[in-house]
Amino acid sequence: MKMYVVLFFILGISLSCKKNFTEFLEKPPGVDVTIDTIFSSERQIETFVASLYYYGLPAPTMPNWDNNRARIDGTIAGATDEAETVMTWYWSNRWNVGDFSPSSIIDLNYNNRWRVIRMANIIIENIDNSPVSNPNFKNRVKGEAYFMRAFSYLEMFQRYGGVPIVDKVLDVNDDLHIPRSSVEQTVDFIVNDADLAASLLPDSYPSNQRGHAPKGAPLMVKSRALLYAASPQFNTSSPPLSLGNDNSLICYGNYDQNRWQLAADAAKAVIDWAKTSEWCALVTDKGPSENHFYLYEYPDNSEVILAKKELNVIWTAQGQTWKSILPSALGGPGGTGVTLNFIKKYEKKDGTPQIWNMNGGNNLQQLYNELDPRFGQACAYNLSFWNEDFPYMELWRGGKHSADNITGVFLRWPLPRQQRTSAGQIPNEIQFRLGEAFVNYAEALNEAKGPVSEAYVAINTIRNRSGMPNLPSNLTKEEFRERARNERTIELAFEGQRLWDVRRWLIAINEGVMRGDMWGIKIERNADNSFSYEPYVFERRIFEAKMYLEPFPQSEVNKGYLVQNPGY
Amino acid sequence: MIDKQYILVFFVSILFVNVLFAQDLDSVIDLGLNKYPAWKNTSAISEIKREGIQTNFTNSLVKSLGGKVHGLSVDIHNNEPGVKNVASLYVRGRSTFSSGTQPLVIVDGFEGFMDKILPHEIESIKILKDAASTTIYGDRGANGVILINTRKGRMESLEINLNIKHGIQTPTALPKYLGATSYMHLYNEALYNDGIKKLYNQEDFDGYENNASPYLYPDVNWYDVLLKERMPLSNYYLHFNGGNKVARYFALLNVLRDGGIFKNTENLSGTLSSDDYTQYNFRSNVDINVNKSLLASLYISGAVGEKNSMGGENTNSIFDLISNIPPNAFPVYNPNGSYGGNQLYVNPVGELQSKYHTVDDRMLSVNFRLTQNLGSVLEGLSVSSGVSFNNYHASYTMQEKGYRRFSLTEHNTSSFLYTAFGDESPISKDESNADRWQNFTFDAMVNYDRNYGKHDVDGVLMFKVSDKQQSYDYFPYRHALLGGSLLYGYGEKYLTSFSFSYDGSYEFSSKEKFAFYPAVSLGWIVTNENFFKDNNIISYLKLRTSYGLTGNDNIGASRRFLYNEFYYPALSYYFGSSNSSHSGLSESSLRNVNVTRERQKEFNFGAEIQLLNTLDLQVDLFKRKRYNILTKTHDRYSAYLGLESPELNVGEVENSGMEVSISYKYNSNNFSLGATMNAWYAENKILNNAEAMNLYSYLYKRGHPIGQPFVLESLGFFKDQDDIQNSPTQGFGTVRPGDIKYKDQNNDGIINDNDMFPIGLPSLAKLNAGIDLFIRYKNFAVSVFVNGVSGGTVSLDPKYYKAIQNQSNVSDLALNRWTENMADVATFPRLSSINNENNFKASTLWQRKRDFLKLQNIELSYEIPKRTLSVLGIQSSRLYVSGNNLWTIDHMEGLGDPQLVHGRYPALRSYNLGVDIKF
Repeated sequence: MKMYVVLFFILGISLSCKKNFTEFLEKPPGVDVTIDTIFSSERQIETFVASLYYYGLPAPTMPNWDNNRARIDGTIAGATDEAETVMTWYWSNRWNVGDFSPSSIIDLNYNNRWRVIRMANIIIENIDNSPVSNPNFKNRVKGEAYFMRAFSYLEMFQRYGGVPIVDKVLDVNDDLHIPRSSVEQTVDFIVNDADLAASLLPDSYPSNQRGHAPKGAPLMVKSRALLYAASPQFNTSSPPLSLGNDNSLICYGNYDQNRWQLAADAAKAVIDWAKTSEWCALVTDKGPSENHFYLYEYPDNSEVILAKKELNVIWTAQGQTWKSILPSALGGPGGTGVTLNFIKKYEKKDGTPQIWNMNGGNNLQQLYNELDPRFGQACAYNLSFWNEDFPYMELWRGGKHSADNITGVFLRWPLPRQQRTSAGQIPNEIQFRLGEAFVNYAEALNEAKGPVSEAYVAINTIRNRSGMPNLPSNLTKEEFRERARNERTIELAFEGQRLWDVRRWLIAINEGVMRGDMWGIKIERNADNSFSYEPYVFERRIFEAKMYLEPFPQSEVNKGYLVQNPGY
Repeated sequence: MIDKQYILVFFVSILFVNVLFAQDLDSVIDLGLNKYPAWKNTSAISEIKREGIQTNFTNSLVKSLGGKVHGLSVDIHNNEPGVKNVASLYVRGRSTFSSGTQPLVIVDGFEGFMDKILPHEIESIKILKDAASTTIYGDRGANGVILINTRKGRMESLEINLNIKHGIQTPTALPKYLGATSYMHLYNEALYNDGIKKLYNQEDFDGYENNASPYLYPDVNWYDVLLKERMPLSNYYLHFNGGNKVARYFALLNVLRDGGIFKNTENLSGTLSSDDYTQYNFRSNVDINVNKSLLASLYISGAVGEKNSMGGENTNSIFDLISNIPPNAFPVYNPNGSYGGNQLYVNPVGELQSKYHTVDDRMLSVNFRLTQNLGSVLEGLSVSSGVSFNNYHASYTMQEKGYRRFSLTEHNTSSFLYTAFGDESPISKDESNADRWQNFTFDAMVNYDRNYGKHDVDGVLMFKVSDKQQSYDYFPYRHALLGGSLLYGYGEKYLTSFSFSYDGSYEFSSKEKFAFYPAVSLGWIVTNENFFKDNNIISYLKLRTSYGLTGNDNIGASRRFLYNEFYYPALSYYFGSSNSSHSGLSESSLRNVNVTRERQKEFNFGAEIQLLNTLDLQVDLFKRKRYNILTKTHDRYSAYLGLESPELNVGEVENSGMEVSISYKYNSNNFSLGATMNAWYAENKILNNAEAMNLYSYLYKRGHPIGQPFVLESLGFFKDQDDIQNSPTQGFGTVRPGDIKYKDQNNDGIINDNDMFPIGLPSLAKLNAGIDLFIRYKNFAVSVFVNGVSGGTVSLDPKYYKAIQNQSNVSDLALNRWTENMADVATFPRLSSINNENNFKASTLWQRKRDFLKLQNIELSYEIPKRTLSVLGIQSSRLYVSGNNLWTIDHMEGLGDPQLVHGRYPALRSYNLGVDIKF
């Protein structure tokens, strides 16, 4: 009997404890941020969206200053004939000497971009089920996700050709051995995402929400993607280096003139959208010698469709973000020099080429003064005005600001004049501006239909607002192509575009573009206070055909399902 | 926190049962838990008694266990008194490459804390090694279990024991650095090698030659300036032990003082201080027979530590500093009494005198247990329930002030120019840092132990919950475990047992919350067979074997609760025309919904043999496989995942080895002799670690033991420019004759990190051995302990060989440097004043064998005859002298102790004098 009492007692205790102990061992729910938390309110979703922009927008011209993302020093302009970064350890110098390989890739954002694609996929998969009720808000966020996914794929397409398409949130148990898609599939994917984004995003934002992508941003992605796709690098059956049976991963496999028409239509769509947007327009009202300055000196001006808003610190001239572009005499670490190869591309104000004597000359200031007004708005040349602190740049040998002066001319874009030792400006980095759509349109339309009048209108619009005369009429298709390319190069100078342009045009390997002699000038002050110049080769650069495409990381290729680009 | 009412329920129910069944039993029961007689044991357990540890004790229990007990390897990494984590403990070597390698420590049946316990309060320590003995510890059994059994009161009249020990300690070996003139010669040589003009000219050497001025021509050996030659060490304890049928008690008070190593230790306010460590321990173990069937046990112990340290939170920064400063850099004090110093180096004495840190820590442990004998219901049945609170708190006080140091230049013959560095600042005090944990355990169990003629049955069923909270951790560590074992023996010949546990861990998702661990074992006492009865040679022979599953939930994850997705606040992005901040959210590594504990399968075979009634031999062979080891995967997920690769339970390690123990005892009135030899060996191999694909197969860690060094293979030094021209290109900067020449393992013509080859062995030695010897003749006794390891490799600390790099010191290793004349006998590369990465890559040149043989301890003692002292009420007294860490054979070339190769707080040798009096 007593025994049963005891057994009963023990049994009773055990049963009463069971529930207790399950709870005892369970981590309390609701303490962690999960997918459900993120999509529970507009405020939480906005947090996630902020990170989408934080990780998602590339920074080709300004260094990132935190370690969460890949950091490039200085501007990528130094990779091409645009410029030379003085500091040898700066990123662009790796392009100059061909210092990258599968075990040390040049694309520092490789992993980061997949993170962004994952974040976009998380939004796309979850936003519809969110309890948030505001449909405009949901559409906007979903549109931003599609836009960012399209933009990330564009960034990969221009580097690698066809890449694997990841259109869902991958989990531990998913098969991650996704092979590369063809160039065609990749471009179609970008276009499709861009179209979806454009259908969801609003035309404009109130000023306290600038920085979010408006409808124009995915339209620009589409325009750029189709322009690249129609270009000689991809719109061909014979890529610079063959991948054999896998050539569809790096080109279309044929030439199709209609691709240019699609590119022209996409560019036109941006221009048309701008007209209806009621805010987006070219900057034309500041005058030929100020319009170009205004573009980058004033954040969120009417031409900026989307800018990266990296910081809210008002950096003075010594400030970190812009410091790497600042010449040493002005407080920077060295600065960035503009090459003579590039300055030769600036036409004279009358639209004819400037004559540079490669043996030197005594008329330097005169040559400078004759150039396209955009030259002085992007470059700091001898005796030019930097800002109130440095009204005259003394760039001759022995001049006050001649330290680290390799090329004779310093890059001043994108440092605003109002940025001084005592006062500054918030840095915004332009991702897309309307001007690009005009040069995209002119180039593509000429390829599709020849130099028709709409192509002239587009390019002359850009020229005229900077005080440059119309292109001569009756140019042949080939002549127009050269002028359109040159116009694009000057208009979008230093904005991180030329590295891709010279590759898609397949001219990077040409002497003086990304390969061969890079020229600067040595400046002497003469006794009569005039200045003479003497061109000289400051660097001999390397570019091999394989560098038209970048290598995938060896560690990824080793996993066995990624076809490496040719030559690596 | 869990509702603790049920504890009360259990205790009340035991009392209730006691009332129900209270009746006189024939004898008072002794209810130790799992107190099997030795013959019933079928698992691999090693044991050491107090006496074996006490002689080897200096200031830490953990350190004194090294080499003493088979199957337990002690890897000392910090010799500074009073610091936490002095050593890592490994039972049967390493079986996992995750960070959770530490064995479970159980003190008197409850999870405990080993750092502060002293040998004097211990009865014995058992190491549970195989699955049969550890499986009932569930998720925490796989790394082995250390069972500490503290001293309990005896059923005898009161014994008072006073023990006083005083000693001095002295460093066994300190790194040797060159004096000023040698340093200057070598520095000039380094500059010459780099093609740079000499820095020191004849005038400078003349200055030293003529002893011109100790200020302008300083020659400082900072080790001499800072370190004492001898430091005191003392330990006092007093304990009371006794009892009767109703109550038994053991009470102890212990004071340990370990003098600091630094001299010149006036503290911040100018008063003399020191960097010492004092620890006070107390313990009170009381067992009370409430009535004849109910036993109540209350064990309370505590420790209070007080560590004073000068120059920083620990001594590491000072040791790193003095191993770097060149001897001629600056004098200790300038002529005006200020601290010497320069731009690069602070003044070590200044550091000591301006930084004063103290650590005060307290540990309190309370165990309470009720045990009810239910023999009247069913013979051999008892129930028991206990509760334990362990609590640790440490508070850190930092007092610092800024001081100035001055570099001297000669102004004219009679005066100096002073250049100041550093800034004066008043004393600041920071008491904000603290560290604490508390641990609560509750258990309830039923024991059954019965003999029916030839049948022996022994069973236990237990239920245990534990809850640990610690600072800097939001969530507790919890377990709820049901475990038990059942042993059946027949005729004292055949034994079989089954044990199991079903453990729930807080760490895992509800799907993986619980795990079941079974183990079986068999034993055969051969000598009890009739056919063996008359054997005179083999007096005892038992064969036993076990196989089972154990687990480890300390999986070393990069974050806890990997099964949850985890988003953390990311840096802000900016929106709006004025760029206003918006906080972000970023996803951490991919969740792994299946994350679970490590598991281990282990097979053990053992034999216990006694020969000629005097020689005992115990042998165990084991083979185990640890699997489900959590590891970061680099081999399967592509970057498309968009996150860091998840950690999966895919790692596998195999570990096998053996343990041997031989002991001999002889005892007579005038003479005793005892000798024990322990040796154990364990060798592991990584079977799977999900590592990334490598270009060369030799780069894989898989197939090697955990911790396998991968280094460049030195081929000696480049002879001349031709040699360099004809050798593969070395990718660590321009090389010159005299630089280390490495082997091109993959023959690709380039030496780079792909030529890192698996050479040498992990630092944890494969083979450990210890020999204990005890001889007594009449009243004199001597005990000796020798300890050795073999099969390990250490890499020298860069401070020994980075000569002149970053304006640093030169150790005497550089005396054998390469020069054109010494090219054939050189053991050290050419000197260079500029950063010479090539020569300081991890390479075979800087590897040494860890193998050593140490005379760890000798104790001579004299037992004063009883009649001499009995008048004083003294029952017995013993005088002893002892020495620790007396002599070593190793491969360290005098650079330091083979167990402490980092060149920081040195290994110490100690000499002690003691007296032990029993009243």
